[in-house]
Amino acid sequence: MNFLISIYRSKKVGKQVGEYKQYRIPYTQGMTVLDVLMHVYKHLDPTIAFRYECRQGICGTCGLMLNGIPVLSCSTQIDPKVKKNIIEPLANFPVEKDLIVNLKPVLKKFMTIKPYLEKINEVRISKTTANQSKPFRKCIECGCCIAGSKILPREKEILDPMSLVKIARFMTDPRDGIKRKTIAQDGGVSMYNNEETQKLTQICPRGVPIDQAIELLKQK
Amino acid sequence: MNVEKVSIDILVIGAGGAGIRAAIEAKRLGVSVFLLGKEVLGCAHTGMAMGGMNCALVAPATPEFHHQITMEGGYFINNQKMVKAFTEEMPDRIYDLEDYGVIFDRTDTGEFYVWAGPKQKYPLNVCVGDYTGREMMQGLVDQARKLQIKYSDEFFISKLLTNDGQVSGAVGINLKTGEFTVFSAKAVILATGGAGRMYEVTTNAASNTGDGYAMALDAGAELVDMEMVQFHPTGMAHPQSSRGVLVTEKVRAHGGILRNKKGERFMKKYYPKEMELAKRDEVSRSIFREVAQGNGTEHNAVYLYVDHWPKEKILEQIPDVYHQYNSVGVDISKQPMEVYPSMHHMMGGIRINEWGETNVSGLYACGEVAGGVHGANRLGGNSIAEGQVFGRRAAISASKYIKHTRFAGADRKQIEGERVRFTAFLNTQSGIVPHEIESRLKKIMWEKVGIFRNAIGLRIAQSEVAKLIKEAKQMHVRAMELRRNRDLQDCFEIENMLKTAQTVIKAAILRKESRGAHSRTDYPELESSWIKNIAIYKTDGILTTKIMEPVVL
Repeated sequence: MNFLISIYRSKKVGKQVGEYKQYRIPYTQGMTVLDVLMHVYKHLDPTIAFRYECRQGICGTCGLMLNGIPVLSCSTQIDPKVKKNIIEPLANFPVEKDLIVNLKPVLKKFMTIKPYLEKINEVRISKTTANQSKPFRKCIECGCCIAGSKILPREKEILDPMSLVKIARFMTDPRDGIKRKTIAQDGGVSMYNNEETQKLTQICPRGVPIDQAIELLKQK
Repeated sequence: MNVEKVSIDILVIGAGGAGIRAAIEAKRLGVSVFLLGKEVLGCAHTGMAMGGMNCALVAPATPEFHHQITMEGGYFINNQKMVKAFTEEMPDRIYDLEDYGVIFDRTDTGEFYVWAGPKQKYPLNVCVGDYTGREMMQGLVDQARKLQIKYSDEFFISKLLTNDGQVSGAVGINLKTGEFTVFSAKAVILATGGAGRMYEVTTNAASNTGDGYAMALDAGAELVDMEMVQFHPTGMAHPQSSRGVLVTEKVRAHGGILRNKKGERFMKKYYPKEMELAKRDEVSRSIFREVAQGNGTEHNAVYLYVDHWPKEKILEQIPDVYHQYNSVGVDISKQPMEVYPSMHHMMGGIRINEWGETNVSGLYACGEVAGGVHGANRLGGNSIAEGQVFGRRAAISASKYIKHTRFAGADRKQIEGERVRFTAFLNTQSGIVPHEIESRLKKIMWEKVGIFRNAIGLRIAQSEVAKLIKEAKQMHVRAMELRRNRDLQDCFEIENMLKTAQTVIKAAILRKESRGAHSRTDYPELESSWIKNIAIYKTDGILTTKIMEPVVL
């Protein structure tokens, strides 16, 4: 069985202009979005650009939009019965080439939150303290939550959900000495409503409870 | 074509666990260091390690015990000085990682949670769920960001520069821009990882193409134990897109049960005492035999059961395994997993001493690209662990070395030669598509240089690879745009895989016995006369081998 797929292709590298090209793909059982892209690269169009590494859903480099929803291409199977499958680069990121987005602006902002442990306390870690930060430590910085945000395109200055999860991760770590909550509140965490945070939690391929992270940071 | 030039004291090539650890140590020692990675920072293959890392942290385990089972696991051809350094220093490296932010799992009483892999009478594996490697990478990346280590990711290094036998830098392409770049460096630390992609079925990330082995050989370094290729007993067998993906040893260590299609617990036949927790080489051979005898599933695999575990145990201990089967429609709390061995790790690599030094001045190596510590079979939990010890040690050695060394100066002829190679791929108008060479290599390696080997198969593999090396000269890049040109990157990577494959085959032909991961059907016995290492290097461009006594204390 063959199926049709539309893939976003840049017209000019580095410029935000593109077009959708259609490809006819032979379906195999269990086929992932990454398999589709590999098929295009090998047999249909060698100029297509996309990132991938692990095929295990853990490295976080292969995020893209499938029918408007951010997913990891390596661990998402394609449904050939969908009338028109569309693959696009992650939303809310500038496109570099085809499905590859430029990570720089996001990382630049990410650095402002001090995304590392500032250890000031020697604390013996218990299972309870370990488990407090554990759900937030699962973040792999794939960017899917950023791409799924409806608030970010309107509120360009606020911190993105990936940064907020990182803040929650260190706020729940008793060894850390930075006033994390202040950074989050100054960064506009209150702009995220429940509807948005629940949606982002559903999107996260690692099952990070983004809603809980944001709830924690909103508290006075 | 643009040529960009960068000068630096220490260049670290490879941004996985060992490479980042090396860069952190160099930065801490106050020398100028630059970190290069082929993939986006944080996305290296280290992050795919699941089960854990071995370390004598909880009594009654001791570094001596860790040392002893590492040697036994490696069939006594490990470099003992490396094993000693590794097992003694490991606890400190775990504390470093916790300082970088990692939090290993704890028990109810606040001890490190440790689990027992094969041979571990006393448990050694510290872990974070079944995504230990990813959390470790996150901690290392956090620390690299904190220390503001200079780095460039998505950067492919294709050649080391040498001057009069001394390393003087490296050249490569910025994949983002397609720019050809020359790095001048007093010292280079290679941390480029393994070469799993040369096998049809592998647990490895796409980046593991043997770049370091090939570049080191060309720069005059020696490789050791290259015939020792580890097959992890349990890779996903089905569907095709998941074929080879790792299913951690933690599953069997926590009571996962292997059965054939008739429902028999077949490990009873092969290793009645150790059962599912026999060593990796032993379980892999058992599964291979079981399937070869016709007892495999419809996908030529065996079953791995955890459906007798409480669901909470599955979700706490192996959440990622649960998830990776769930995403292909298998609920492992109710159904068995289908598994088959998958190429996993190169025990061999660049010959280093316990301080990460190679035989080339200014060249250091650490992590999977280096060889020696694992001998003929690596214990699960020892790889991401040893990278932390030898990453740090390589940086200490390199930092000392650069203090009394001047820039050797770049050899223009070498740079020009590499530029010609680069443009030749681009200018070949027609020829063979790179991925076709790759798929033929994968098939040869999987079928002839796999779990079982013999002289006839190895000779066929040797001549087939030689043929492919010739054909690879006709590889042709189909896309003209320099930026993000996958064909162009493939050309370089395929040449590296071919060079690596040659060394594996040559050493495998030479070792006429069966030891650890190297199983010869024509020489099935373990021979005491073969407590030796095989080193491979180039003399006047020709691969040469020598047989050496293992390094002892």
